[in-house]
Amino acid sequence: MNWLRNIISRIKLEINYRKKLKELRKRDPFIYK
Amino acid sequence: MKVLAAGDSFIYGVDLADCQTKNQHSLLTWPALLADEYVCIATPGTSNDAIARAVIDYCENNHTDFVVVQWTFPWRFGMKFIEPIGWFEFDLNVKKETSASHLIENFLIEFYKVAGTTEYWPVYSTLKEIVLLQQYLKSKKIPYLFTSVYDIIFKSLTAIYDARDKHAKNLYNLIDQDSWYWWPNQEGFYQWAITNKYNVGVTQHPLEQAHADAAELIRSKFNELATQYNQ
Repeated sequence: MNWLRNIISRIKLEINYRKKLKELRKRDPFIYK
Repeated sequence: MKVLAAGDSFIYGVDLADCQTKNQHSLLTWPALLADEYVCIATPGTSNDAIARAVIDYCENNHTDFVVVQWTFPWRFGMKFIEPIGWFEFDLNVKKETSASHLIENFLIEFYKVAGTTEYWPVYSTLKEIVLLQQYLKSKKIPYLFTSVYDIIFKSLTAIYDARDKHAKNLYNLIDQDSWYWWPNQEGFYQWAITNKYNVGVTQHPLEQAHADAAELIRSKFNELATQYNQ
């Protein structure tokens, strides 16, 4: 069952990351490169 | 008095009338308006650790009487890699900046997932840079004024304090608040300009009027700290 837990935590991490990225890009929209 | 200004695009003056983004910084930014003799080492899109490095490099090789730093968003980072060798500046837009190496790109994507976009690491890293540069300038007896584009560094500290994180707290307590300027309502420069509905340019940077008014707001603090140079 460890593999299942790993997949679930990986998915959770991915969802949180995308949510956070979206929020931070609104605060810092200054991309130059 | 020779003033050195460091920071990101806001200090470089992106969107201001006299600024050519890749070649010429503006002389209409708030620190430029306050200075008699002005040197700008700001770089658009830079990170806080690059700001600290740039100031130290400059001061090691040139004379300066006063340093102004407007710290940037904490989720921008700089790191030196061995392949390809050199310093890389990166921000939330990881992919565009790391076309030189898939290894670096993969590393950065993972880094941002587990540390770079969290509440803690960007703030902690920025606090380190602030304390590092503060202690450097004090050791060289160079008076300085620090401020920030965004208040996230200190707003995030509430969460860090709640978590009873002694490491960030220790660093925060080392910051000399007497040499720090907050824009009204404890905001960063960018937030202050947006809150007060100043016009912004094509790339969302506050325009000339915001800088002129900002210079007036910060003038007394600037003069107070600059007198240390004259004493």
